[in-house]
Amino acid sequence: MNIFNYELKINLKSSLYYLLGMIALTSLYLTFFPSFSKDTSAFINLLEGFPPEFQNAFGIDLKNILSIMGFYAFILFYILLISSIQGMNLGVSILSKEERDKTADFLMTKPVTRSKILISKLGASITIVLITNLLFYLVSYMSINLIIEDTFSFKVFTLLHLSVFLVEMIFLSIGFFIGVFLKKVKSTISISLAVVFSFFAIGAFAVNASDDKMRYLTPFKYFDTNYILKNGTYELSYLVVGIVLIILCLVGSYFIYVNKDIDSV
Amino acid sequence: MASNIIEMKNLTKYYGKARGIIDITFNIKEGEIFGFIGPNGAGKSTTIRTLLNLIHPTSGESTIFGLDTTKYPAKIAEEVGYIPSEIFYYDNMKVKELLKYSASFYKKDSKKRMAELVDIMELDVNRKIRDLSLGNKKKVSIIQGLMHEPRLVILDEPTSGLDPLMQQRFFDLIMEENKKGTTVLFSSHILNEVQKISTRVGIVKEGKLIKLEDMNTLREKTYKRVLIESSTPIDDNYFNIKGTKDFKTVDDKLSFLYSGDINLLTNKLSTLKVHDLLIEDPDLEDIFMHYYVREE
Repeated sequence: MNIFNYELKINLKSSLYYLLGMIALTSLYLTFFPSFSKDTSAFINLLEGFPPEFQNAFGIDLKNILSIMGFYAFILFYILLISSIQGMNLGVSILSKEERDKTADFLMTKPVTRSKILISKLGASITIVLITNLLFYLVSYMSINLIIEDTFSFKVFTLLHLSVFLVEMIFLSIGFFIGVFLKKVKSTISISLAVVFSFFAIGAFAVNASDDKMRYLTPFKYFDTNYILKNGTYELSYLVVGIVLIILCLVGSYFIYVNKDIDSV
Repeated sequence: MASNIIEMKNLTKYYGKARGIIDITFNIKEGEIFGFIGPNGAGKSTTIRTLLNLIHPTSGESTIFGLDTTKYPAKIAEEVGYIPSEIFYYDNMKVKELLKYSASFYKKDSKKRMAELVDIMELDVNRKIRDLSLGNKKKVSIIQGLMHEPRLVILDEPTSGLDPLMQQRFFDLIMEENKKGTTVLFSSHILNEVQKISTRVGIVKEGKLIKLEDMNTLREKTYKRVLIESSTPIDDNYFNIKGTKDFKTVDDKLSFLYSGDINLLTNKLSTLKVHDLLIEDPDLEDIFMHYYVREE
């Protein structure tokens, strides 16, 4: 538990900054909703001025945006980006920092197996992701009830949040996989941003592509909010692909980490 | 007869095509202070890192306490203390936090020994790691490497950054641990340092172990390098006495290695007009060039 506790302690603080950012963004957007819903035609007219590709790329859906959950899904489109960066960066840095800061020699000459190091670090990362997501879920639920008078589906609200958690888990796993290859990288955040924005850009193309299969290429499109709003469930095939991706990345990281050489400092 | 603490059999490591170590085979017995010497880049650290399972051997095998180092590294580490040449710790930690974190990996309660070592090393445990000088970081390393009272201590160039007084204190500490039965593997490129405490040495060059020798035998071969600056022209054969080799003359300076009777040398010197005279321990390169390469 010592590695787990240590990692939890040093990583929780920066995760709380992400959480505060997400809460601030969500609350700010939510306060706009009552005025939008009062003057719907002006709002829709404004949005219709944008080309459909632009609307798609930025997560604007004219059919749903005037309902509170539709509007909320639009907010989560951006929250997803922030939480993905958080997950990715956590995954990339938590393993690679030992080699970057040259502390790997210290840790790996202690009586602890590499698999235990990996599992402790993964456990700490998942715990952090869980804590931030759970707190965000609770605070969002409270603020939505405070700001909005309309009723909304608790199930859809929960499914939307759970999809944010799952996408963050996918990015955490991809980050873990990338992290085991990195040796002396100076800045993990630049790698994390590059990877996340690449997938985000693929997502913007995928949503405008005629072929639905493009969606498999980016975790950002595994959980289609329109589908969730309409059907109150996830699309099974994408959910399975997401989970398989998590498992592959984590199992791959394990085998590479256990067998890799730690270079001399 | 003492049992082997470390055994290496044809241990080989290549980094891609680059040579690390080739066919290293030797054993270290319980209670020994084994000096592992060779110039930088010879493969000392590679050997040590392979033993610690930080890197994986290309071929060959090694055991510590009879356990395969690639299969049971964590079990082995319970009774090994490692003090590396370069020290890196978590910069944001205070010294006491780092030592506590280090102690948390071991089953033994090491608080008492930790406090003793902190006293001996005169270390302020309330300082942050990032504010420590190289010498103080080294002290942290020594404490974390010894506080769990390991059966085997592995030292990789441990004295760099320590002032002479601290070096002596460190050697005393190692000798004291050794008296309690601790086995020591001590790697260094400074022969003098190894000579001080080792009972046996292994010499490694270009990835290969070229010699295993008792310290006593090595001491018998203690050549000195003699440098003479003189205004008297010195005949080429003037110093051709028993125990000299490797003559070099540059202008009015003469240098050679000498292992014979020192009085014979002073007699010879007394007839010359000497401007400057230097008699010093040869460096490792000299030793390799003249003790071993020619013998083989």
